[in-house]
Amino acid sequence: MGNSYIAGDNIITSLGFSTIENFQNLLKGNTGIKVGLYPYLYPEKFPASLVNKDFVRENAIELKIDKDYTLFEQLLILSITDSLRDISINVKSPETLIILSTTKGNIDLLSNNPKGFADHRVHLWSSAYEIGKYFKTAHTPLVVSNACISGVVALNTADRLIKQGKFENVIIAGCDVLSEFIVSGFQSFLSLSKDVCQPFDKDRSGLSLGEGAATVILTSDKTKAKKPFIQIESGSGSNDANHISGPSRTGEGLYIAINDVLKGSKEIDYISAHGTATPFNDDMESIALDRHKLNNIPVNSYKGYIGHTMGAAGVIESIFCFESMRNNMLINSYGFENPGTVKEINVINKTESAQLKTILKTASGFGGSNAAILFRKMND
Amino acid sequence: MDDLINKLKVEIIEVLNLEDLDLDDIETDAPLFNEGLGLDSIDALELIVLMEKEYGIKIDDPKKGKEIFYSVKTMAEFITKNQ
Amino acid sequence: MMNGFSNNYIISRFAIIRKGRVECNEGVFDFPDEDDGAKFLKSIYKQLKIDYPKFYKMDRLCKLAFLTADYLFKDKNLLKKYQPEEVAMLFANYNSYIDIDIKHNTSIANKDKYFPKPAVFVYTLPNIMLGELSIRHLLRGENVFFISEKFDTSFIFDYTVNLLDTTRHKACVIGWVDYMEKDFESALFFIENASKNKQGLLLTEENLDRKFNTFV
Repeated sequence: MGNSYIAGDNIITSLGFSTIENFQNLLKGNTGIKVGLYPYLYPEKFPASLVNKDFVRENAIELKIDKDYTLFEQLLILSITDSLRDISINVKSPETLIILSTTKGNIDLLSNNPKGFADHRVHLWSSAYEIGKYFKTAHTPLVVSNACISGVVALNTADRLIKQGKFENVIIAGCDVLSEFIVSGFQSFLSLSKDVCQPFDKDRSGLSLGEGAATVILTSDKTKAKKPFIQIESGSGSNDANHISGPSRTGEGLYIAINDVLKGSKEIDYISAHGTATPFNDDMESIALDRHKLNNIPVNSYKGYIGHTMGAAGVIESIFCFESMRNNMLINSYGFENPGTVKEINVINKTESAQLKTILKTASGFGGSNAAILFRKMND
Repeated sequence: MDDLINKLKVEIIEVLNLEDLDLDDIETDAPLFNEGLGLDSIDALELIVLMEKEYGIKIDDPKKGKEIFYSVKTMAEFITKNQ
Repeated sequence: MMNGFSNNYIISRFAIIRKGRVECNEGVFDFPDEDDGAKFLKSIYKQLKIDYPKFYKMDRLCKLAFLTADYLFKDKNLLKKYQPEEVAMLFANYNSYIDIDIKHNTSIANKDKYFPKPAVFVYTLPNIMLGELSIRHLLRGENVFFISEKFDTSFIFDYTVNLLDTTRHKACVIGWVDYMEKDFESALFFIENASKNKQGLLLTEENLDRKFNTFV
């Protein structure tokens, strides 16, 4: 069984078009969530983290992908392209696979199709085919669509394929774009906050939606890996078997997933939680962490900075974990002021330096799904 | 009030997809959630949509739903009071 | 024909619903009303004498998955051998759930009658069927849902074997469940270690492919 190393990455969100730009904004304590009226999304004001569409357009024109691809596909292409820059991974090689992670892909085509794309383009496998064609990949990209844990599941799947020896490189790209379809759905759940979301806070009132894309390049070839070497140690998942839209009150699924990756070890330096800021999710996470006696490990949520980016969340937030390790910085959990979860956890309330070697990332989603993944920084 | 109660029962069956039930199977005073029909959180949200769509009453705070949707009777009383 | 590096696993049970028929370990069962998806699903539900009120809340895709799984787990002893967290689910489909996507989209099309329904929106994620099956059969293993044009036998076979070889999981439900307007099909397979069940078809890529294509 080999190892899988991070060779490259990219993030595109309201906070910028590269990993570094995004992380710099986290360090400065800037949120990309803005309360505003976005009529194309919803008839009333609400908080959202939106990608700069003008910038996307400019870059798309430059890459000549402005006409034949949807916004969703353009973001993926831009993100993957940036992540491949300056590294020697051959995207066309049969040793390379792309895995996409998304919840709704091109769903907006159902009501907005000004470019006149064919009906089948609404399907996720169709986007996968287009992305594969653009990069001239040897294999059609896989698509993981597993609600909000998709990103972590995609990373885990990639890790397993590499360790199995099936591929030398796997490019994991996650993306979701906000649309009326998505916003109206979350509104019907009355789960959106009125202002910027407040994960783990006692006054939290719901989630803030975001959009974005991110790419992680995993490789088994250490010579192509980015320094400092960061590995995926292991990943796991579990279903609560409780309710399709509400998390288990005992955090059952998350407990099992964390148990599987930690295997009794408490040597974690920091936990990047899902932290959507809904009353139930954050409570459930605190219960699962408490059951593992991880109450004192520094924990945060990135969703106060970039919102809940759904299919992209697991990938974006994992890259934030990598940057935290690269810079040895714990990032303040934006939006958090006063503890408000049913079990006490150690929410990071100040950005400060810390030696970070091992990070646990968790995610939970509709359908009772839960996933956990462990990242480790190796010495050179 | 009786007409409203019967109308509500029909609407509840339709909106919550309680396909094998008819009017007589829903007791006016029986609790709708936990026991009784065993409705859940999504059902509660659907009833909130029903209130707005059929009766023009907007409920912004899902927590208020617990009292309003306790039984068909409390729903009818709420509608009568707020229309 | 053997594929892969390890073949201790068997397809001990299967259930396939296609073209108005159900085929499982117990045999083939025909159902009328195959053209009307809703009626078809309801007649299977009645036939199986299931008492599960939540069935009616499900969208058709989940109902299809649910019923197919009830045939798969007709043998009540099957899951007794495993802890809930030891049984994984590895599913895929073509359409995600486009029918319900259209339904949700329609509910927001008219700005004067703008009533998106949470009970519809929740089903716009294809992995919800995994949630429904988890609840019904108490399965707490890992879930993965892929979207692909076809059932990728080779990939699913490899992934399943690797999952069973290297993780906590001791059994896996492989599934392809798809529903679009009048076309629907579902195929579920229960994979476990050969030592746990003397009967069953050896899990090979070829056998899985052959079983999947039963009465296609």
